[in-house]
Amino acid sequence: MKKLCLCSIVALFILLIGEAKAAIQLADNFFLRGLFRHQMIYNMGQLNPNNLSVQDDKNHINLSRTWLITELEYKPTDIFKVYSKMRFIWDQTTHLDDELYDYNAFPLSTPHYGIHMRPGHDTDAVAEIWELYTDLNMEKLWFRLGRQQIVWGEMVQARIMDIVNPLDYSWHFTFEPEEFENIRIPLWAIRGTYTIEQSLLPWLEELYIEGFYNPGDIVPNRNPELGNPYKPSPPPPWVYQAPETEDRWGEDEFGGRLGYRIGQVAGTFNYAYLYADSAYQECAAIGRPSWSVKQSYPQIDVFGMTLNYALNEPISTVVTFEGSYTPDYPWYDNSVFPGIAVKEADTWDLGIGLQRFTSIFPGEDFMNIQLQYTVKIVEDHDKLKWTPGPYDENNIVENLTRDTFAFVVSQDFSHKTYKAQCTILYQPDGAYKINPGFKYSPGDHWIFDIYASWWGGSAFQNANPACMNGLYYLDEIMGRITYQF
Amino acid sequence: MKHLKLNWISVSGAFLLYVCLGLPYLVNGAEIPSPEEVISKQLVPPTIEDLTGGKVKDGDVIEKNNMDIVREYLPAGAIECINQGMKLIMRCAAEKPFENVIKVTREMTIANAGKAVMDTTGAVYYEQIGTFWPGGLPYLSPKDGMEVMANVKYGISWDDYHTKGTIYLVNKEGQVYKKISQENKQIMCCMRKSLPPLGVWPGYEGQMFRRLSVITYPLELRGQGQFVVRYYDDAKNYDTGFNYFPTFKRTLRISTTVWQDNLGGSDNTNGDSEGLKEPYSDWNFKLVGAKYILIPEHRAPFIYYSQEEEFNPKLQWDEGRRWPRMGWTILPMYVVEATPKQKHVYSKKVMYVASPTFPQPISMIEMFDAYDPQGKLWKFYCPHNGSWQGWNEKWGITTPWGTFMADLQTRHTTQFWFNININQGFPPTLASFKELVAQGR
Repeated sequence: MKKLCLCSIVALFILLIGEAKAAIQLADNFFLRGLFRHQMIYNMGQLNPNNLSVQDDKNHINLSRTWLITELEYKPTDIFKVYSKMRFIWDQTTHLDDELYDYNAFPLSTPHYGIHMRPGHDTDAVAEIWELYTDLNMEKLWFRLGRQQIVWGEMVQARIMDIVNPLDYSWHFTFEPEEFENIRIPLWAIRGTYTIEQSLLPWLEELYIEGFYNPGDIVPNRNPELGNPYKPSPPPPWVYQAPETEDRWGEDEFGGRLGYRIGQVAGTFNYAYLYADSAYQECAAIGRPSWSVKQSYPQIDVFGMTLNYALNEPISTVVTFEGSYTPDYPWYDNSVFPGIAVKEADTWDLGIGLQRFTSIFPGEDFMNIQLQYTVKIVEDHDKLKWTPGPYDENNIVENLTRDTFAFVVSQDFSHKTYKAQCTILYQPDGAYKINPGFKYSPGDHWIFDIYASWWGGSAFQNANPACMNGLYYLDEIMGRITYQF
Repeated sequence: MKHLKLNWISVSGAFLLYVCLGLPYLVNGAEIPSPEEVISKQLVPPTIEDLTGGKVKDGDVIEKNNMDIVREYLPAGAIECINQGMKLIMRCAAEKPFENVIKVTREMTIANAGKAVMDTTGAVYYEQIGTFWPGGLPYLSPKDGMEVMANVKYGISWDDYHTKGTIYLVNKEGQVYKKISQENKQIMCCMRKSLPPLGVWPGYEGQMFRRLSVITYPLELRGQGQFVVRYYDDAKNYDTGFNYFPTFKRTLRISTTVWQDNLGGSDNTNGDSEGLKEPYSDWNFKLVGAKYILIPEHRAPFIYYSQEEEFNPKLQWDEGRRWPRMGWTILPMYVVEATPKQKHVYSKKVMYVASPTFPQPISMIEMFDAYDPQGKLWKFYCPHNGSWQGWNEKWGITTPWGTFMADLQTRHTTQFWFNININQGFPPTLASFKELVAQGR
């Protein structure tokens, strides 16, 4: 399988380079686009403490992956389109580093969630239909039906209202330069937007309503397997093994939002009926040899809103607000241990961002500068904890926990041939992440980029899961070569 | 006697034919009218052959060595382009007044003459402040820079347009090294003249136009879109803009100062589109005067760029792919000096604006020289004029196949080649949040 996959990738790559142009026209109104990419990530950090049970020494390679992503589009008319994104991925990480445990690099390929459309897969190669949908776009009404990503919200690098799709954390956690695009797991759903006639409500402009309905493709977040360098938490104690899981496969999710503009203020009101993407455990009875643990995905109602406003010269800054309120969000009861009990509490996620384009280098593109603050506020926080583990300094939910400042700056040079960027995340509790990057795009096809990640800070002995420096061992440098066609 | 009468009739007929067909003026300086006369009396302009006393003939190629013969009719930027290798083919077929204007625009220009009133910030109304201008060029004989620019802004001929094309980045060696393809749709919400609803689109009162731009190539940017609302009085209401980013799959608000940022890494700023896309309230305009200027001809002898986005092999290039060799002709144009009111990447733009009788219906600002903050000549913007067949023929207009912007300091050039179709019958909802997401990835 692995060899077949690799041969297919190489053959297709050679074919595509030979045919490279704006898009490859396969037939009338039928186009093929895509990219071929190899990425290699070198470990500048430490041995992941969550893999101590299967790994003795520090690994040098965190990830080595080869991708062929193809986008097929059939658009026979202006109003109708069929689109598919297929991914052929070969993961060589465990082959290149002998220190690594031979983990499954594609845990998303589970039989239970077979509708992921992975017609071919093993532990280090996969062929999958990542997205597949049809669009019907009429004057005021637009529908998208199929396996898709539904993204709401306006904050960068934060998921306040971007909550519809689960994430595949299993290969590079949340550290891809494309943010969540390649890890947001598409779901089978129908999504529609209707533009309301402007003369109907003259004081509200650009009014639209949007809704989605997922008839049962409920998939949880997927975490890295034991042995994966990105594993973010230790394996559960043996007593918790083989929990009884109550997943939500077959149940439905839905939501809607109303968008508007009043003068120069624009925004949305959102509501979503969802199931938690991460599993919550409960342990009612202590038995032998292991405890009876139930793992569930509680239903949540999320109410949200976004607002944005553009300030004119000389400030020329866009101000954006995004917030969500989830009543009875599931947490863990800090009064229960060694048992595990879920305790619900109202939870607020809020974010405010400032963005400005500024001319720094004469003749060059403007520098994009963003400053963002996000915070999570939890009611009765002093009665809650983050994880089922013991309640201590590293497992507390503070009144203002996870408050994070993000500073993002990017600058293109020489007609976007070069791009330098840096993201700095800072948590006042004492944690930070510095993420510089450099990209070189000499022409239409080749892209070379390199990114680094450094984590640090003294907060909570590097162990509070709400604190960024819980991932202190993941300092790394990533290089990528991409050929797009 | 009979022969004499017949001869008189023949001579008179020949003279009328001469005037109507726009045959060249006698090569005699005294008989050449001034640019102001040509505009105000709606005359046929002289040709470059007339203006140079016969030294330049139809089909002659102007280059660095012989540029001095026509230097006084060239913008400063064009002179520098010729110094850097651009070559111009001289054309002597004079354009006739109103030849390239949609009939209804001409009729409304004449019917509404003298009825334009301008407020203190440059917004033009019909007879009284507050009544939207119905259409046509508001000022047949503009007296100052504001009136010239009012013709650009309120004299728009089309009700909507659709462009599909590609930005080609050309390095100083003359090689195309990068391409960005995009589609633009712009819909007028007021001053609608040809397509229903005429006048103002109900529900969109106060909006001038709505625009949707979407990048279609390369893959990395495919689906990146921008939706902008321009208001009738852009001094009172600044533009409202939103971008959809396919990587983030989100629509984000953008600041209007991105007008000054480069368009997709090209030599054009976002505000350079159509000569000056920025709100006019951000600029001061000074009319330098009307001049005879050489510009790319409005009707090319062949199609330069096909609907399939392929170049005609007949189109010649100079300095590699840096300069398309186009036909250039004389027209009377207004020279307007524009200076920004706020901190800007340009210290000045000298714009060459079409006169009401010889408009280029897509962008009345046909060319401009842009100066850097130190006051040095930096860029030259010029249209690839000439498209008049097909859809354009139906509406009786010519359009450009795009523009080029030459960075005269770095010798880098951006050529934006496209096909434009006007009056497609687009509704304003085509530029909306819904459409940003629908066109995205």
